Amino acid sequence: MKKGIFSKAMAVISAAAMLFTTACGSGTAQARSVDGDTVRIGWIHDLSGNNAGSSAVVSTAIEMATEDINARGGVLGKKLEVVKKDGASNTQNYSDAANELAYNSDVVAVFSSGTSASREAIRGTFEEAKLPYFYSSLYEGGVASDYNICTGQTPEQNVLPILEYIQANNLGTKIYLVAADYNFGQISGEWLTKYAEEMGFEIVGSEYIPLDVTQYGSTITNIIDSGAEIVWYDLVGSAALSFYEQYYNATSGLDRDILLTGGTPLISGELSSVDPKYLEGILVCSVYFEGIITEAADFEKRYYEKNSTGITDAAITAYASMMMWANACEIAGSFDSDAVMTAINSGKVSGDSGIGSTISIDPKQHHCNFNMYLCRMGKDKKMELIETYEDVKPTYLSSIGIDLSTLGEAPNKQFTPLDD
Amino acid sequence: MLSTKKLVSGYGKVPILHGVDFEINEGEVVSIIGRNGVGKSTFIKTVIGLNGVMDGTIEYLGNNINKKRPFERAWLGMGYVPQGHMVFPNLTVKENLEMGEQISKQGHSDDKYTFIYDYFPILKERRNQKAGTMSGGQQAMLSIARVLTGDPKLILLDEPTEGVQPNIVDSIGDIILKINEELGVAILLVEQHLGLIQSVSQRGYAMDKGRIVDSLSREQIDNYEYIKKFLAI
Amino acid sequence: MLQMIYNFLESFAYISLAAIGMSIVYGITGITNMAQGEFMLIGALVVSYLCGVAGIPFIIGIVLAMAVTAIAGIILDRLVLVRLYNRPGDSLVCTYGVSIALMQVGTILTGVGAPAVQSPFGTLVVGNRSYSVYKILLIAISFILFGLLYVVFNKSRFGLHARATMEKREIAASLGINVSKMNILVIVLASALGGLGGALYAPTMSVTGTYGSNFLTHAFVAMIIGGSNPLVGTLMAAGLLAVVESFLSLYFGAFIGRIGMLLVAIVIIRLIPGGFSGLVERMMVRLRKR
Repeated sequence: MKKGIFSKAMAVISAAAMLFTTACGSGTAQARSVDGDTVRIGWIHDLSGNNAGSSAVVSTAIEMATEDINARGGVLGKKLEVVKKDGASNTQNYSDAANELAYNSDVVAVFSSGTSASREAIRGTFEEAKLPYFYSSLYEGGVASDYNICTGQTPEQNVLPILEYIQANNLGTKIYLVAADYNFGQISGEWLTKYAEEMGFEIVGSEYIPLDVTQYGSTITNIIDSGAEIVWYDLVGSAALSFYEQYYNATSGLDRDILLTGGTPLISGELSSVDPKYLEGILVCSVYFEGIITEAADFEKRYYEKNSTGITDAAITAYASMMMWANACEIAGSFDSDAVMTAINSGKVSGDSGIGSTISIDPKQHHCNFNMYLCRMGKDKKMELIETYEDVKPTYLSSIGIDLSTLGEAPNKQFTPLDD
Repeated sequence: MLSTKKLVSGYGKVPILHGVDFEINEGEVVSIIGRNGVGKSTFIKTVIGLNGVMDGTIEYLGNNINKKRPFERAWLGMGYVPQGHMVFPNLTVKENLEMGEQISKQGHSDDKYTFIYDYFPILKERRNQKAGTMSGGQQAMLSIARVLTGDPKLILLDEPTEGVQPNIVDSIGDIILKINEELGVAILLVEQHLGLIQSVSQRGYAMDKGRIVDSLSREQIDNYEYIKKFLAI
Repeated sequence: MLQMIYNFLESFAYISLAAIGMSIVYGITGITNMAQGEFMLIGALVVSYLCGVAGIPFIIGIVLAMAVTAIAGIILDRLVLVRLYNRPGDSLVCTYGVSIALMQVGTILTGVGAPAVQSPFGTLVVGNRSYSVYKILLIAISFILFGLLYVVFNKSRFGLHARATMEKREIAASLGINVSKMNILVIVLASALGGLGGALYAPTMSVTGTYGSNFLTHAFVAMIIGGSNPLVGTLMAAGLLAVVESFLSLYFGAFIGRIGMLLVAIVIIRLIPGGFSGLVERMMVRLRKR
């Protein structure tokens, strides 16, 4: 008899608890009003785990952007504060952090720089909560969302310059693709295949490799056997850093040169953790490389006063994302989500990149334009600039007829070349 | 040489021995007899330290050894021949013997092996064979020989005849007597097998339900009518 | 063909060097040490900082790595393992917790990644391919290690005592073996081996907090299907897993290679619960009976 009552009581209590937490966690976010002298934004990125290598730079960029914004009086007169959450390279943590920021905090906008998997896990949360969400990492492109702005480069901006350069200089036509086995790698692979085949390249092999693999013997054997002249590298994370040494040692005696290039070399912490000898000759194209942009010198100096990890483009795009958000608030005259998004959709929002250029948000595509730098890695981590492409605009979403400039009408999904 | 007073021990929290008083002097051959389950094995395991003491004391060579760990008791001169013989199956016969010799003050000596092979000719024949492949009787011999290499002062024998054929039982009896007479080693024998008990014991104790219920003189042991009530006969 | 053999041997060396420490601990003390990967991390960190930054010669770095990990092993034993002897299930859970904690410490220490160490010796060109001389050396080392361990286990007094303890711990204790001391020695040996493995592989991989977990899957699976004999079992297990993984990875990619390896392990354990050690024992018994 005692047991019966006890379990009934437990049932009632748990039901009540469930109702209580659901009530807290669901529904629309309250209209954010900012009182006092401070305005808060949320940042979720990887302070630890497999992707900490690419994220260390973002922390410093956030710090620098906050300092710069507050130095000029804050946003709409209010001091900016950042609420940081560690994603720990774990998508589940991103979901939890997103829910907390969306429904249990007073942040007026959220930023993140984790993997594409993490972005897709939380994008829906902010679309539902109607909170501006900036994703600052380079990624595979195609997100068409009301509230999500992507401030990193996409394949249409960095793949083409590389392929054009290869073709113009007769560096080869046979490509072997090595990509990370998750949404980013898979979709990037689709992009590479699409552009490469359009331009007359041949994909002689492709492998999608799980994120925690550190032994690449078989893959490298396949690369050599396939007769590839170009290896397109789209691996991500610290486990993949092992690739370079193994690749170098297995190919250095070959009778032909294989060009190592791709969308993601050097973004996972290679500059700090991989011996420079193994990075020589890599061809890359991105919004930023250290030491080749004269206007970036001040930014770099200031960055290195705070952090010794090598700077990558992730820092620049993170910095710029905050600048653009601040600008959008100023144009809107408020922090209210819809007002901020409407300002963005007017096409007037732009921000300082920190390296001497201005980046703007395309109102119809919610993606940004960049100066792209095509470079080749020389000895001792010295980057050699081959060519600068100014103001490369995003084109993909417009090319498939998407127009995001009216708030509330976005498809809120990600498009990939397979959908075309 | 070895005595226990009101010894209580068992497994987990359950006591099997409920206060055992026991004594064996140097050079004696003393048996503890009783049916299955009365606590004979538990007693021997407690003496060698593989079971902990819950209450009471064990004294050996004048010292309380309650807290001494098994290997320490071995170093003090105790040899333990477990129930089921427990040879190391994948080690050879010779290696099994070598496992016993570390506690001897002499360590390894060829003379010792000569006399051990003398006592146990069958072991010499099979010295490079894996111990696990031998018959029950041969393993019984090995388990006894193994403690001999350590020059023990007291040998604890836990039902050495279990699983052993009758003619080997006789050999075991002979060996026990030989060890005791020629080497002066005290022998504590725990057994149910009447024949062996009668052929080697100088005196004994009867155990039932975790207690000593009678002490037995040589005459009483020889007396079948008297002794059968303590055994499952 | 040569390439396939090379890939197989590479995989074999990798699995062996990772698994041998875990197997020895499991066989003799009955503990499943999921923190073995972190011993490898410690070894790798020592080498990364001493050799990569301070420029100390690699060989000395390896020796120091083994010494540091041996000490770490003693600390782990006294703090955690001493309560877990002969409890493979409980020790798995406890040491897994230790592993996670150490991984986090490793991540905090290394941040993005420890300084890189160049792999020495360059490459050997055969026909149309080049092979890392260093990797070939690692393969040789794994065989030498097995050889050394064989000698120690089968021809030395310590080895005799260890083998007896592995078979019947209580009886060994009753014959005078200080089983606690044996356990500590075994753990020290296994940690040092972990440190060695971790240090040796550091030049070929990036060293971050999760360095150890790269090895752990392979080590754990090899240990399980190897069974309780750390030499024979680990050797055969590493061999089989290496064959499966290198073959499947070559033709179907790393993902299938990994899955295939795990499936094979499941099948083996289902069919031969004692692992390869049990199989070999039974085969030897059958051979002798003939």
